[in-house]
Amino acid sequence: MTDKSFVIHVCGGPYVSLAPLSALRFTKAALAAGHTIQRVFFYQEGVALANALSCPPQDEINLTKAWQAIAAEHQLELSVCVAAALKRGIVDAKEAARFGLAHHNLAEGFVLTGLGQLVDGMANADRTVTFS
Amino acid sequence: MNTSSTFDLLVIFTQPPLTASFPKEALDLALVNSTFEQRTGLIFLGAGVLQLVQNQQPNVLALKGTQAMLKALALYDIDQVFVEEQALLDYSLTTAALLLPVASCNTAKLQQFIANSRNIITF
Amino acid sequence: MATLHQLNAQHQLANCLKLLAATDQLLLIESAVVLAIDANFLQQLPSSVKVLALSDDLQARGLLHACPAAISLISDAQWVAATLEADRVCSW
Repeated sequence: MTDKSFVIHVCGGPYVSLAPLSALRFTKAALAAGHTIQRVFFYQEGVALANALSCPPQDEINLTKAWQAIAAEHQLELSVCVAAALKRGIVDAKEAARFGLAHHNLAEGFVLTGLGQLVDGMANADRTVTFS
Repeated sequence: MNTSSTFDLLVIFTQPPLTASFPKEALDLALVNSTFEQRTGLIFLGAGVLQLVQNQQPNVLALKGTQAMLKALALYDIDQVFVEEQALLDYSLTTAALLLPVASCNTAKLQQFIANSRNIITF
Repeated sequence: MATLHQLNAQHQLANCLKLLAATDQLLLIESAVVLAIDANFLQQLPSSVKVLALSDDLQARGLLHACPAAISLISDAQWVAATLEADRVCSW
């Protein structure tokens, strides 16, 4: 099969669903098959994956770090819906300044974007797969 | 890009009103999709049809609800709104009793929309 | 124009079945793999629907060897291929 491009849409959160883990498995398998991940888009509870302050027990998988690692290795874009993130307490330095917040917690490698990035991805990728 | 599909994105609503952020975030996506000039269809399935019930008063729970967004769909050029015929029967509803103009469809018809959509996201 | 329905939880089965066409495929992932060993599951589907389940999700739950032959066990690599062989993916 010729190489195809995917958008990975993660809308289930860690600890309330297996969506971030299943999406990671799928992404690894797609990359191993030579396909392209055009964009990973985190929406709804999925935005919680971008919280740099989550500290899972040492003997459990750290999904945030696992996504950071695969993104760094393959230059993946980890887009986080800004509206979904802000209301769930995931903010970057710029948004923290805008809202007068004392802290910011967006994990390295993730970027706050708009839903337009998901729409653009769906319009252009060969296949969009949602993990809820 | 496949340009033969009826819809670039079909959004399927399966949850009753005020179920966490599902209804709101589903509508946000539909509106942005349409703003990007992507053909957008909506299906209200099962308990999702209850999102279209009139006279919801989410304010009694200090909630905002989605009625205003639903009524504004036409302003965003979203007029392809479908509801599951059996769900209306199950909840003793008619299309006339809903918040906005919709087409009632049997599951065979809804399956055709699925088969003619490029992308589908369920909420 | 077949659709791959990707089901991750039992509670969305009823909605999924409404929109599952006779030519579609149904993929069980995550907790929904328990349906594979549910005696009442397959009879709810059109007989023409091909049912797949993620092998690792079954194995992780101790259900791999109880899975009936009518359900195709697939690897994560085959999962990726299945999403491309279908015309679209509908996740429930």
